[in-house]
Amino acid sequence: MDDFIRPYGPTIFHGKLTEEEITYIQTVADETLKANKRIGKSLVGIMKDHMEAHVTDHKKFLSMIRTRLISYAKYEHDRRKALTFEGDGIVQDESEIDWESMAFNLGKGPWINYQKAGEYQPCHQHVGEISAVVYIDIPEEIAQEEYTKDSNINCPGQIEFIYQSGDIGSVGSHKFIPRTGDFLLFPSALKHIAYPFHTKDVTRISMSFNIFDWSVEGKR
Amino acid sequence: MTQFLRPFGPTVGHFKLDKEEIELLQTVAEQTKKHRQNVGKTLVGNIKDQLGCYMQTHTQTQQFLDILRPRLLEYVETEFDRQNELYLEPIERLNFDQDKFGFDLGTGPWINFQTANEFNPVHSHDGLMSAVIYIDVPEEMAKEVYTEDTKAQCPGHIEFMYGPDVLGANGTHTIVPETGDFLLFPSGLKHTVYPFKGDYTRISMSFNVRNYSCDNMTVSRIN
Repeated sequence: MDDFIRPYGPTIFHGKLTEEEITYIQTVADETLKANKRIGKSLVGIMKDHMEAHVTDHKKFLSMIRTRLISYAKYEHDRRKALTFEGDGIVQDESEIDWESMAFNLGKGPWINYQKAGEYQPCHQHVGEISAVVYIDIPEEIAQEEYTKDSNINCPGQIEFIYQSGDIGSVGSHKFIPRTGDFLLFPSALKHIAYPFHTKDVTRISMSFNIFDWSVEGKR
Repeated sequence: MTQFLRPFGPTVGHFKLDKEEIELLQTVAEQTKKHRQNVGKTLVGNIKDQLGCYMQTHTQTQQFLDILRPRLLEYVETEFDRQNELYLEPIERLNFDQDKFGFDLGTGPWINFQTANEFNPVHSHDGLMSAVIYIDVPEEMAKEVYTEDTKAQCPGHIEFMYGPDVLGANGTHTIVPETGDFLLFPSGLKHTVYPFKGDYTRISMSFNVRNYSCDNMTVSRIN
């Protein structure tokens, strides 16, 4: 039987926050702005407001992450298992893994980017093992911007992931138009860029964090 | 004996044009601006003025090709020698004489007139080798500081991307362009150009070399 095998390259998880979670994380963003703990000097964004996230209800926040992280880890486990030929004997028995026991380390914790017109994130990667972007508030006008008709690419406020070359059979980059409530997880070394937009008087608010290590009982 | 081998990854050629060559290309840029053939719909730049390069006379075209020829040849020759040294048994060297060297620029060069907040998103080119020539880069641009609250400053920089940053490998390389810089790189090498804030125009030319012939052998991109 003919087959096309695509074992290589990084997996991006795309989840959606519930309405309740969006309301909660927007409250965190408001409180973060008030707390005003500026950490831009440790980040690469060409933007004035990068703040350390002000999270007080840790249980609620970590629970929001845990469900997505389990989903990512489980997907990757199953995907790799499906690629292994029967009899290789290198895949752990799934029954041994207790996914609900997921524990993880967020290092210095999340930060929030308040991106304004003309601001952007140059190409970068993160530290850690898995990284996340959570889109807290994305004004709808941004995706509808058209700076010039004389271009075959329009990418206001989009995030683009970059992975090697784009020769035939391989995609070298992948763009994503973020919307409020989108939750992305990806390997920390996967390069990405966030493009500027032109709409005045709006703020594109996103949160990022890095997961330095994670474990579940039966797998590390 | 300890050795550190760096056989992998693309080579970026960095050449410098002389004063006379820069003046020629600045004249071509002025003509191009007047001729105004916007080719932006075939390009990715979020830049209003991406114009098809306009050479007014045959002599100008010949002078332009004379600027390109020695640099393209130097890149090809240097790469041949570099890769040949990696072989256990080197292959016979080609004849790299200028009169045996030809190249095809496809639909020809274009010129980007980039102004404040305009940029080129991540992209790669068609062809075998591609070039950027910096025709006029205002010196104030490199000194811009938009905010002190960041560890990166990249106004108008070009950044090439190739794999992740891990110990032993660079995933990206940034160049702060100056007037007269001439960069040559494999067409598939991804790159981006960052915006700047100042009220001036950063003028650069690009073109793709679809194939070249050297010593009666033609080389083009496999895919």
